[in-house]
Amino acid sequence: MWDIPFRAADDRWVTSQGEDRYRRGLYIFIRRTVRYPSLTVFDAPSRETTNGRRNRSNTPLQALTTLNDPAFFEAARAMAARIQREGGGDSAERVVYGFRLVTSRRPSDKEAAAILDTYESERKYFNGNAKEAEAICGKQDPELAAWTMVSNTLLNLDEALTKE
Amino acid sequence: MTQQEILRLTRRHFFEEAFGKAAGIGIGSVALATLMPARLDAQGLPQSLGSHAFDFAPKAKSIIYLQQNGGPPHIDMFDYKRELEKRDQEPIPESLIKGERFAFIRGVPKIQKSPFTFKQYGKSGVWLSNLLPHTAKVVDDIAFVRSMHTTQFNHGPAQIFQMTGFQIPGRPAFGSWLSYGIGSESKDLPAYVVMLSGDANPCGGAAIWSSGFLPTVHQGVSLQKKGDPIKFLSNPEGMLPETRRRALDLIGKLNSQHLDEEGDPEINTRIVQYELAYKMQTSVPGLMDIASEPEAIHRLYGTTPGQSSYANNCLLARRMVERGVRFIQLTHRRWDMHGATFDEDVVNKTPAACRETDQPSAALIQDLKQRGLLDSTLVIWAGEFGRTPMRQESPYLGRDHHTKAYTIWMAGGGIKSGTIYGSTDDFGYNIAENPVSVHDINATALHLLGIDHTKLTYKSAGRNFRLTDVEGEVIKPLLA
Repeated sequence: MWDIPFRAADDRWVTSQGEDRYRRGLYIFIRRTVRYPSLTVFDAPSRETTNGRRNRSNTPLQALTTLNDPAFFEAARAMAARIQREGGGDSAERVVYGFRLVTSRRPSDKEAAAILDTYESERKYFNGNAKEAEAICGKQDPELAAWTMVSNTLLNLDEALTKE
Repeated sequence: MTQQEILRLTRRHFFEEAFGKAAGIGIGSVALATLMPARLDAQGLPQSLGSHAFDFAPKAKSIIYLQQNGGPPHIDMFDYKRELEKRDQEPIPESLIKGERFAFIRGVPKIQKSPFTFKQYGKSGVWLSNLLPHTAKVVDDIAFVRSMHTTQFNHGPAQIFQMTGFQIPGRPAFGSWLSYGIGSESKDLPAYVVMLSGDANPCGGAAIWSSGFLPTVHQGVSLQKKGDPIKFLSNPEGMLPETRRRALDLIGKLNSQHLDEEGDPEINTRIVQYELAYKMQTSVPGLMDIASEPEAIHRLYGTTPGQSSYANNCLLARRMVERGVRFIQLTHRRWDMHGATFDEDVVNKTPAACRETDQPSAALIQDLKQRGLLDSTLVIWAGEFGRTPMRQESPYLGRDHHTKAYTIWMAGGGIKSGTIYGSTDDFGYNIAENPVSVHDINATALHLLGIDHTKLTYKSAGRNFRLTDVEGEVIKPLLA
């Protein structure tokens, strides 16, 4: 993406390593002529003119970004690890913990049941699909893989993305 | 009430208007239609809505814009001038260039005849050079405009002017205006798709498919040459499609419950857009897989599956028209030839650029026609400017950028076929009759899509804007 029109070797954008990889989006290097794609799909102003109000949009490209962009998917992995570490002993407690992390409220019984259901079936699924589990969470750990998918789901809820 | 004005309302006010009033219609229903880029049709499939009612019955449904990036030399391809042969290497009459500024030419340059041979073709008897044997076969389906002019003599601004109607970045591109105005016909693809080929990406950059001040949902989706054609189209590595589907089912279920409680139509839009994203995950790889086309089609276009080329992009454009994409923009950067190097010599580079574009462009016309799609698809072949009939001082044969006259062509979608419109003087330097501006072409194209170019507006920074700014005339003689 950065090859043209900036061909100079030191003008290339490289994915950060180590701690820098997890700095906030605020620190993304801005180049007005080649805008960072994940910001553009969320209506980041072009910085070509002053901008009084940001456009609002709701597009399939945004959905693809929050579902699949490695930055977002790694967040789901980290959230899964945190749910396991801090979310209490049983799965029902962990569902509530994960949901609260994202939405700042407790899930309704109906919501909690739907999430728990999905968690259980994902865990069973990854039990028989250890390789896919490893691709998803980095370990052949069906529980962690299932929590990663649950986290990826929670982070993509309308309520997680939009404040009503 | 414009979309801008609606957005200025507070959310609470919006819902009171939408759902609280006894009549249940009014601002709310208008707002719903404008704010929601998609709704569900009878089959539960997302359908995109435009904000502009047709001003008259449309002839064309889609536009394929073949942007010839760099400035094709009109006098070496479309605009035959005997006078240049007679006066080859003489100084150009000073009266012509007096007070003129060029990108590179200084002083009084010499006239340079075309190194190529010309013949007449088709019913209109249009002159084409020997570089365009395939275009020659479809001239009866084409309208040539030989009296184009532009205001910008450098590539970037000229391309931005060509595609957005203004030379400075920040205005919506043509495709964005259409996406905003009349929405999409496709249920699983974006309304506005961009495909790049040639030496490099266009000088105009992403500004030539920007949505400007329009919501970004109308921005051109530029397909990437390597990896996923659309960013993040693929699931994270190793995730099976079924796993993604199950996650989407839970997202849909929880969002629906949330919608029942909140009643915010934006939540419904979110549900629809997630389904559209999933559909794109399956439809885009299918769309991009041109290996499934029969051998005869590959021979017609000169395509090779797996390559990234202008030819492949032309074939993809036809496949997108079949799937209802509204505006397909191809940009082929290959036409700049100043003669600085051997490869940049007019004698070498023009034939090379024509070899890449002549056959696929003509094939596209033939293919659309044989499928009955040419009548509803407007094809525009245009550079951002032409090239000087004078030689530029360089080691090899070069021509400079020329804004005062150049040639473009249009076909299908209600264009009068077999037409030649406008002409230039003996040198191909100035327009002799019927000048046509970039705004005129855009006004004419919008007309064919059923839109009055003076009525498709959007309020930004305190005034209404349009693609044609405050100019543009529909060129009636180009209409069938």
